[in-house]
Amino acid sequence: MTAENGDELTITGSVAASAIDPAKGPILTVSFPPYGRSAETVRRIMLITCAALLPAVGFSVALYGARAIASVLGAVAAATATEWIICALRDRSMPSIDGSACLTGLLLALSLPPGLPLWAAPIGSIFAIGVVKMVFGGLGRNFLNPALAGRAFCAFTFPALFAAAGMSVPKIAAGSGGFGTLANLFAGYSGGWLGASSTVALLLGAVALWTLRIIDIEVPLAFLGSAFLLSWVTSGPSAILSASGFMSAIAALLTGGVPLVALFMATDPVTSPATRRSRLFFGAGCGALTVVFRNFGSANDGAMHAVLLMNLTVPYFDRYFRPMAFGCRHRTGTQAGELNGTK
Amino acid sequence: MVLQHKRFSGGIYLEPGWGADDLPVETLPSPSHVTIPLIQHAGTPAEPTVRVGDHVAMGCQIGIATAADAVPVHASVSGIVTKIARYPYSTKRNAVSVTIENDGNDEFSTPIPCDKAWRESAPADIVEKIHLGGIIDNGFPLADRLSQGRAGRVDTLLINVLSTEGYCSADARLLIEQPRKAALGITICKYAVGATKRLFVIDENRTRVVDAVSSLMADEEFNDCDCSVLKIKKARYPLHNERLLLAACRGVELPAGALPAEAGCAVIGIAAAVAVAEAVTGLTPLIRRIVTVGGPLASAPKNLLVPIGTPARRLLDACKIDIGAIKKLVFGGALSGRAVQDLETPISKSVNSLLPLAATAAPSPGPCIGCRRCRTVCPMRLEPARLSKLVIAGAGDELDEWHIAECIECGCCAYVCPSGINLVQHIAYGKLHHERSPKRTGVLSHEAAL
Repeated sequence: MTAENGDELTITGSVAASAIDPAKGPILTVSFPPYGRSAETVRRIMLITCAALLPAVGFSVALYGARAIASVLGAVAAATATEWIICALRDRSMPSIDGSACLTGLLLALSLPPGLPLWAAPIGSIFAIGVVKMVFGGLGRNFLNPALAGRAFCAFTFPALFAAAGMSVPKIAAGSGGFGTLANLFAGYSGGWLGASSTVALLLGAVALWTLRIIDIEVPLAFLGSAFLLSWVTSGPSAILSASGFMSAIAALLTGGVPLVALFMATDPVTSPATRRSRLFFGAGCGALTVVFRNFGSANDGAMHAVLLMNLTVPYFDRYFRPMAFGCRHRTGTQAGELNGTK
Repeated sequence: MVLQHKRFSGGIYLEPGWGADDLPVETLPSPSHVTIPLIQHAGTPAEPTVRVGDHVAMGCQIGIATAADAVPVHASVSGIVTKIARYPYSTKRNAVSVTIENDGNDEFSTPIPCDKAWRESAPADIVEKIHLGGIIDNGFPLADRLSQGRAGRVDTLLINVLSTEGYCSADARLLIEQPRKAALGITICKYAVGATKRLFVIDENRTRVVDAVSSLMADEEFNDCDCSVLKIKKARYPLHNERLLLAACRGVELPAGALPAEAGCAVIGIAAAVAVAEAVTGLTPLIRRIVTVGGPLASAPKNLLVPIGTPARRLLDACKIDIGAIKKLVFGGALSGRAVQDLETPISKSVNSLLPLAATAAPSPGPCIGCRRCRTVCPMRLEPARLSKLVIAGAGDELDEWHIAECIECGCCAYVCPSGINLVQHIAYGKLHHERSPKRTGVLSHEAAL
């Protein structure tokens, strides 16, 4: 009866008109919820991360002077320009002002040896952004950390320059050996990487990022913890029980760019796994590989190789360390409908 | 007795609302016409029992429930039926709706039989009266829920006083203004489901609610030592969700589609409790509800008691909102509500708040940077970003593996996403696909919730 009536009547003029007739009211926009968003944006996250690196930049400028400024500016400018050009070529309106290219350039510059010719950093930037990031689809799609991959590119392309590029830096604390060395390393006497000299400066930034929940604590903890343990255990049968074994294990955490890599590069959200447990394994793997590569290879590049290798394992971590979804333990093979039926 | 709650993860802490709890309920004068959808919940629509031209009294049944999960619908004003048509803009798309021209006489007739006092009735009779009263709680037919509970082993009646999104104040105002009626409804429901205990779940931040509940607890006529309170500190949205509530109260995680009776509980809201008291003792079906109108555009926010089927525009006018400035009108809250297409969209039994908004532009979504904020806030421990990517990639078969059916579409993930990705939209789309697959489980889809 009336149900059929309803079908025939469908939309009458008066009902439909109110949606389009401005006299009856405004045209409403519909969209899916939520209708409010938090203030957090990708650009904000990237810029805060860049800001957190400023203490380290400042320290390297203090150590190496204008050379450090030129290297950082060159890398940042080349990274940003590369992203702009590629976006323009791909005809993407995606703005490259989200600051991620800037962060990549900054990290790359800080990871290069301080004595490298100034043209090397921009070349690394172009590779990092152009090949590692944009070729795979841009922000969020890269499977390697772009800055580390850029550094690896430079290291493989100019090995002779890399070998000669170390610069001596002034010591902060007096004395050598034992605590004197450690204090020097911690405060800033470590010539390997431009921006990784001062663990203190890097820690400052990392703690700030952690309190803002931009980086997590699992990866750095597992990274440093496993690197420490493994270097201690492998320090030799005589040293392992003495203070020197302990000291050298601590020193291993402060040299070769480990602080920069563990705090800022391994924690890159795009190229690290998602769950807490998998992040612990990921960090531990990075730390262990760092020690292995160092013991059998280059002291300066171990951390870089370790993280790049672990980056490749991230999809497996994501798949096998899945969190148990709400209510799924209860289900264990039964469908919800069957559960209802068995009450 | 005050209990400790179990741990629960995820969710968002929303700052306490703008004081809608303090605004007394105002009765909106009956509108000139009402448009009453014959479906206002998750389930089967009612069949119309009136024809165009019929005269109906207030409370008269205009839609009859023909399926187990259907609910009768009643006239909320007295007058002449002028139209029975599919109304395109209601929260339930194209629901058959009955338009009644108000004659202003407010004649009343009850659909509920007046036989004996509720204390002498069998629980099944009470459930039948609740059914005839057309009561909907939390988007589900209350009678259906209670009768399912009765067959099980329900020992506790949970009274859910957590607000959906901080500013829906219907429950709070009812507790403050009609505590006796709320208490009576709760007692009746407890009897109807055969529960032995009552447990209030309240948010410690909402001081008005806390006061109202403590005065109820002090009432000896109501509280015969079987009543306890669970105060939740800094209750995070969406804890009001039934499944999360049971996890917080009982430590039981129910799968999607399972009934609270599985955890030995029945859940009821205050608005539903008051409606039960009115239906069982006052013989009045559910024909009115309290709607909170607020948001940045409302210069005079209000809690309004309106007949079901009142056009939203009447409520906006009552709150002195500049109609021309409205670009989007949300039924429900900002995180899980639903934007409607038309200002004339009627208020249904499930609408607890109206949120007119001036801004329409959502930020254009950027790429996912894997920051994991979405999975941190997901109360169901899902991976919204992955689900969204799978849906976009068209990987329908993998969605099951990542438990897409468990998503309750609370909106937390999209709220926190720094890239502004429309995660809920993608997941809801994926669920549609999933629901059509043969392995489908009971899923509360977004549309069904309103």
